Amino acid sequence: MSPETPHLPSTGAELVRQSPDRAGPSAHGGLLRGTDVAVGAAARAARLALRMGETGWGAGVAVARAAAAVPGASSAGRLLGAVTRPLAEEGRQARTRTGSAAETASGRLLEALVPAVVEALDVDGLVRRIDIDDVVRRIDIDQLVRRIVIDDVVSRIEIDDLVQRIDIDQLVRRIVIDDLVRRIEIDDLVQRIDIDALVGRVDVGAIVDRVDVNEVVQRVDIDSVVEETELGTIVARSTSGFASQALDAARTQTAGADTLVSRMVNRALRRKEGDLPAGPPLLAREQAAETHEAAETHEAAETHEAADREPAAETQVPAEDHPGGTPR
Amino acid sequence: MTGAGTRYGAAHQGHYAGALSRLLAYGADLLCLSTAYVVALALVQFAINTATPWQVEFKNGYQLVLVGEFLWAAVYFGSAWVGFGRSPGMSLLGLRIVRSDGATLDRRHALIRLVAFPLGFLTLGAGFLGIIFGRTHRAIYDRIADTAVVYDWDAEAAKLRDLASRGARRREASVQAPAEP
Repeated sequence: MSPETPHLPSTGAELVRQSPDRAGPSAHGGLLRGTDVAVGAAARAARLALRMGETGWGAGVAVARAAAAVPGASSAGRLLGAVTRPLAEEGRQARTRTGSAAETASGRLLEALVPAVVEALDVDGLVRRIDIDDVVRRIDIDQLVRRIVIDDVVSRIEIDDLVQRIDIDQLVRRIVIDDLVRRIEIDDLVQRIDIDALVGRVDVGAIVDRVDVNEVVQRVDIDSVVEETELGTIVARSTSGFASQALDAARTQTAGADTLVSRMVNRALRRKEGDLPAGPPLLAREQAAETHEAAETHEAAETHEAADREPAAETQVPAEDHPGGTPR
Repeated sequence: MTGAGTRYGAAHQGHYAGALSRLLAYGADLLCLSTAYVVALALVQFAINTATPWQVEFKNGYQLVLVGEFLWAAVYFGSAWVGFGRSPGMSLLGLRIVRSDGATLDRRHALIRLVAFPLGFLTLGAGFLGIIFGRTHRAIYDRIADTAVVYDWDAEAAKLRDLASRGARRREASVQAPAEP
């Protein structure tokens, strides 16, 4: 369907845009002109009739008032009413029929015209001509919002469905965690935490159960504890008399001298010390197990300490000062 | 005494005891048993001379005294080895007699060792050479009795005692130092 000739769906007629100046010499144009002349004559006649009716109506009213003043006019009026009643009834019925016919005709006309008009309208152009900002400015948003019952709106929302439609991963990816953390006032946050309450909620027993006490004890530098703390003083006062110190010294020096003699003999006999049995098999095995355990403890402690030390400082620690270590 | 020394001793616990330790232990035992024997003889002599009409003079019967000393030494070592697995001198030096495999010394092997012990002297000292030159520091009587002597003293405790003493001395010194002008 071309824009020049919109199709009327209900009647099958065509709506033709035509300027009054473009009436051609065709038969169709002549018919229209004739129609215009007839309608114009009818309009003038109607206007004339209406003027005459108004004048007649005024005269009738005056005559009626004058006649009403004459004696016996009421009886004459009743007689006139009885005589004119069939005419008034017929007139009323004709008016009703005319009204119904006019309504039906106007309804059909609208049915035919409205779709064509709507289709002929350039809605996009119309919308473009509307100043949305101006329209929005005219809206009283506060009043509009006040008229909205928020609870009703919220109750109509299916929160679960809404949440399921949200891509949490994508949402999180869009968050710059660093910026977020930077905006947090850690000090304020910490001050608002009730540490006592927090600690009160901690199951300390469960934590202690998870601690390997043996491993912790193995990490303790017993030598330092004895040497540097008051515990050492207690040990010294309770066990370290002059006699025991002298005995320890004698035994230590003697054992050292034994080793020296053995080394000299082995060198003289060209024996390798590593090939000689250190002690009886059962005791040597026991000793080896203890040495191995001590070495593992030493290694674990060293690894643990290495994490907190600088490499340079680590190299300065003499081997004999390591706790639990067995000198070679 | 140094900490390093004590740790050195700790490393030898359960190892075969060296010649010097065993010699000193034997010397201590000899001193102990000889002193006890002499004191006992003196008491016996005094008692006999005082309480009886006889007069005893051990200088004249030294063979008897020597035999008595051997017997006394046998009792001394035998009872100590059988009962404790070590003699008093060994206890002093922190030594212990064990089976050659490291098991605890039993009565039978302790007695065998006691019987074989004089062979060290009867061989004019050659029986003791194994203590110095042997791979397991065992004398002839150790080989016969299938025993060995090892270090047994608690060097770890000694080390802790040493550390505790040094720490206590250092703390006392630091407390006294500010008080002195």
